[in-house]
Amino acid sequence: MSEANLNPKMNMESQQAGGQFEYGGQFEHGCGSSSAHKECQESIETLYFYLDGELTDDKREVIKAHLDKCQPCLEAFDFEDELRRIISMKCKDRVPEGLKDKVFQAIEVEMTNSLTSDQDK
Amino acid sequence: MADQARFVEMTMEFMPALYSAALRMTRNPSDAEDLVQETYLKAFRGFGGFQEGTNLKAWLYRILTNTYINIYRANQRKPEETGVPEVEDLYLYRRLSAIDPGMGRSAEDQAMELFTDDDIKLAIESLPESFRIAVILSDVEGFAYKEIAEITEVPVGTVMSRIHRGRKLLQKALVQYGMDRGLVSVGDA
Repeated sequence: MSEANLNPKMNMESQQAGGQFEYGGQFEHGCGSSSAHKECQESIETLYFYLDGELTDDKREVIKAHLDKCQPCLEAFDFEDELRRIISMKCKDRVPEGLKDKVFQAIEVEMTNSLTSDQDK
Repeated sequence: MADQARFVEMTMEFMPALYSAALRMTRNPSDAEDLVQETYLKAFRGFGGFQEGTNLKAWLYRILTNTYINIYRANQRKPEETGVPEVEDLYLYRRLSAIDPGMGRSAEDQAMELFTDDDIKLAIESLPESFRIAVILSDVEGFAYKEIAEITEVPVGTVMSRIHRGRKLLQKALVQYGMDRGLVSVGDA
C-alpha cells in the first residue's frame, strides 16, 4: 500500500535525534473552508482502512481525490504508511541458535512414535 | 517420509517470522522457543489435513495464535476492549511534525531516528493482549483483516477495532518513550 507515499526515503544514518520540542498546536490544515475541513476529517477517519487496502473502490477513489488536493492529509497518510513499515522492519528477531534443530528433533520423535504406535496418520 | 520432507521444505521459511511473533506474544525468549516448537509439532500433526494451495502462512499463524492462547491461558476472547483509553487520530504524527518544522526532515525520518528496535518491540509488547495480537498480525506480518479474523477466530469488525485502537495505543507508548528520554515533550498529555 504505497500509493500514499510520495516520499518513501528513509534516513538510516542516525543523525542527532532532534532536540526537545513542544507540542501545543492543532493539526494544521491548509484548506480553509469548512466543507474542506470536513473532507479532511473524513479522510483521517478512513486512513487505516485506506492504507490497509480495505476500502471499496468507490470510497477509495473519494479519498484518493482528496489526497490529490490536500497536502497536509497526504503527509499524514504518508507518515502512517511509513510508520507501519518502520514497525515491521524493526520487529525482526534472530531465531535462536538451535531452535531449528529442536524442531527437527521434535518432528523426528513424532514420526518415530506415530510409526511404532499406529501405521499411518 | 515424503510427507515429513515436504512439511519441512514448506514451513521452515516461516520460522523467523513465527519466532518474532511468538516473542512479541510471550515477551520471553524461552517461552517463545517453546511456543514455536509446539506450533511446528501441531502443524506437523495436522499437515495431512492442510489443503495445498490455501494460505500456509495464515494456517501456521492460526496454530501459533491458538497455541499461545491455550498454553498461556490468554484472555483473547474475553472483552478486554473496555477500560482501554481511546487515543486521538494521528497521535504520534502531530507530535513529531512539531519537531524542528521546516528543517526538511520528515516526521517519518524523525520516527526512524528517534525510536530504536527495542522501543518498537517494547511498545508492541506493552499493548493489551488482544490488541497486541491484532497489531502483530497486521502491521508486522501484513495479514488482511479477514485473514486476521480467521486466525484469531473473531469477527472482522472486532479485528478492525483492535488493529486501529492498538496502533494508536502503540503510538502513545512511543511518545511516552520519547518523553522519558527528554526527546519529546507533549504539552497536552
